[in-house]
Amino acid sequence: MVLITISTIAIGTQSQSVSSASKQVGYSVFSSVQYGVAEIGHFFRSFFNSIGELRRVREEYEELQEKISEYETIERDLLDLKKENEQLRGLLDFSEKVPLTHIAARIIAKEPGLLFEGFTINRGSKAGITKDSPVIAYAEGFSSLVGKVVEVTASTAKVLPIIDRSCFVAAKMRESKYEGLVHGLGAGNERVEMTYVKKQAKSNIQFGDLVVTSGYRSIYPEDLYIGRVEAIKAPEWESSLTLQIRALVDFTQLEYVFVLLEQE
Amino acid sequence: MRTQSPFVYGFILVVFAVLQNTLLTPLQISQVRPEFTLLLLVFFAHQRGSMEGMIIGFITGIVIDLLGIAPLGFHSLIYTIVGHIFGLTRGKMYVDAITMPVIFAVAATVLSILTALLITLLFLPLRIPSVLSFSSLIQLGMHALSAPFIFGILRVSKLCRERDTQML
Repeated sequence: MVLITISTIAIGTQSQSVSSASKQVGYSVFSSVQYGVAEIGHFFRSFFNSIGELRRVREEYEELQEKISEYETIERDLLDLKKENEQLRGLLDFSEKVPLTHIAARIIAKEPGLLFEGFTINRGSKAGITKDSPVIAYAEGFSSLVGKVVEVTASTAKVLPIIDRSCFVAAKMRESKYEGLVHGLGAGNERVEMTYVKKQAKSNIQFGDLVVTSGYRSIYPEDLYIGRVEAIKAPEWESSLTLQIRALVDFTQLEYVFVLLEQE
Repeated sequence: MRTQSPFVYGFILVVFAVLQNTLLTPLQISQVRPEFTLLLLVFFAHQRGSMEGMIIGFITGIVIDLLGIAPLGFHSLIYTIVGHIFGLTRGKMYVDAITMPVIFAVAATVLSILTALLITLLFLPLRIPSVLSFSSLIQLGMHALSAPFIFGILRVSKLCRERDTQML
């Protein structure tokens, strides 16, 4: 202890320059080491902090992704609801405008395959539907003909649409009043055909003219819209015209229909 | 191995026919909807044999007739014939994952179209153009594309097992 004390005092009493120089050297060496160690420590601290940070960022990212997908689902639902709301509002407006007694129904089943185009609705005899009741829908702002009821149970009814080959409707041109018979063309065809139209009508029929039900000796009331003229066929060997008509109702998108009930 | 009655498979097909008419209606191309019941019938008939194929086909066809606007007997006749024909292939053909289901689907669709054509020629002449339309080709394509998946699902689900040789 004595020796140590003496040597300390000796160092302290030595010249200032020697002391400061040696201290400087020592400091330089140790400070470099200190710096290195501190930097390495900092590096590892940063490294492990970064890993933790990355984990947190990833968790936050995943949470945000989940939130985004939730919001996207909500947005989609909202858009669906808006669309459905608009559709139902349109149907409600249309329902109020139809002067005939009617009942709204939803399509619950469609026939598969090629040959038959029938579909089933969720209303039956309990709702007052009878066989041969006309079925209409709202399309392009018109009350358009969909078909007729062919079979009824208490809570469902089968509908034969106008696009089916076995469906025939007495029809006329809305403007020129020329009459004919409309029938369907079957699967994969959005058009119907109007036959037995007088040849002299050719000059009076324009593309896009509307075809409506004639109401003569028919189960369908007068002036229900069927479609627009898309093509006119006038073969020389035939005594009448055949008109290709695009139905106003888009049968692929059809969800709701109105069944016209018998007037009391 | 436990052997199910053909009526059980008939019931499964009936349930599928109802699903096909209701929930699966959005599956369509150019207004042509596939008949998945036909593919299921082909699979069951191939697994179970000719007699059971006929019974399953008849039950399914009758229910499809009742559900739709087709005259009673239309689908039941087509499905009975398809069930019988594809039942004859039991034990004679190995059904792989892709090729045979596609061939079976195409053959079953062609057979059903030809039978439908015969029926329409005899009883429903108005509908002949529908049978011979481009829509038939679309349906053929839909059946061919979906057959490997349907056969695969049926095989994995083990819904129908090949009948025991003792039962032959």
